Amino acid sequence: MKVRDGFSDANPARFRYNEFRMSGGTNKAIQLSNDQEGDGPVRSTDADAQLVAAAQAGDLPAFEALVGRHEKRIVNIAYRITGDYDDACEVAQDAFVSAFRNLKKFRGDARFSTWLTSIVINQARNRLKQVRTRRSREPVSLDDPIATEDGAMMPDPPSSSPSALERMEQRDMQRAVQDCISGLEAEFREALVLRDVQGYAYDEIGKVLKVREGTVKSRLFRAREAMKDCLKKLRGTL
Amino acid sequence: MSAMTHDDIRHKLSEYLDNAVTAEEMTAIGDHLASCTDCSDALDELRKTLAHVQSLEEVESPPWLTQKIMARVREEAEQKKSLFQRIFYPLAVKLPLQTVAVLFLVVTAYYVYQSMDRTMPYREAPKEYMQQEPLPAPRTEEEIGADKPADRSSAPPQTPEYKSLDMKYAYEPPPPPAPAEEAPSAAAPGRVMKREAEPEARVEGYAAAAKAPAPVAEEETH
Repeated sequence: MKVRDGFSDANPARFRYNEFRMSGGTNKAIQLSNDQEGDGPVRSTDADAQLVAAAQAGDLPAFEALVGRHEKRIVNIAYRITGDYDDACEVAQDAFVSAFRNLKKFRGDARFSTWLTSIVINQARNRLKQVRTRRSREPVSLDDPIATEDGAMMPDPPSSSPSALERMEQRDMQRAVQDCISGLEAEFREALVLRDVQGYAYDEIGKVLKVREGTVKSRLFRAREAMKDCLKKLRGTL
Repeated sequence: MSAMTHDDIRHKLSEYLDNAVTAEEMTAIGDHLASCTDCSDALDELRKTLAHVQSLEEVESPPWLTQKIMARVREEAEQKKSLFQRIFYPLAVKLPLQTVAVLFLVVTAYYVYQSMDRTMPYREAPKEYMQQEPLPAPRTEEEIGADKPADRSSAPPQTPEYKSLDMKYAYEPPPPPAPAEEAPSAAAPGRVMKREAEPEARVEGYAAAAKAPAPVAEEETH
């Protein structure tokens, strides 16, 4: 069954943290019982708040526990936005390091999970820009460059021929959906991933993306319409 | 609320699926869907699209990710700590060292200032003396032979400008002019005034030098 919240019980970092506490950790006792965790990304706010407070005081195991609680969700958000697993892992690392660096600035106005999500969205955006820049600087095919008469290399951009579409049709639906998500503009992609993949509420998406709720609805409508058109184009039918 | 048009409802279908519309809108959209096949088909497609998106499986994070993140975090924490230590730690050692250094600088500066104060007038006076008091030309042998101790005592006094350097003589009237001594003749060849004669006067102090006989050129003895 799909775990949509990223807070699975089999969380080694949390167990390590509890062991640390039981073995005489010097900090105040922090209870991380499963009872405190509700549903969705909103859950475990109390436990997060306590861990964040401990981490802000320099308690690295507390931060490690936070990493353990959120890393799967963060990797998944990054993966759906970048469309590449390795990039997603890099983005997740950068996001957590950035979160640690700016942890003192976190005042608890928003939930830690919301704050962390906004960081990973920014990191993913930056990564996409880098990838786009890299691709724009490499317009020629590296494996089989074709020299023109004047000696310049002939551009070999990604093909959009029907055969490519046929290959796409052979892929499974998962791949097609991910391709369609990757084809969306960044603002629509972020709204779609947060709402339809991660299950965030509209107001929380507004906080993460720093836009009004009306804007979130509008972006979501356009993202879903674009996804529908894309899937129909790739699969022929829904 | 005004009645929703077909386009309005078409744009609200996304929110309708999320139950993010008001009760009034919900009723209006439901009524419209019952009569508009375009909108009901669109809603059906939208529902299927959402089902596909929501069916995306979650990926597992790599097992090394936490360790890698924490390694970078620890590195970050160490950097922060070392910067803090460089500036503030250990205060127990740095503060006394800095205090001693500051005291040393203050004491040194004070003594340098004091010694400058003492040496300043003496450093300036000889220059003035050398410039304003032309050295007498070397005397001939006859003049030396005819020179008597009485003559030495009646040597011309120093100029008032020179005396004014010493406060003791600052307001003293100038002494009566001594009998003019015979002007020394032009410098004879082979006779050079010895500069070593001057330090005597300097050692005794320029105050005393005012009443001292005029410098006498000694004959070179070789």
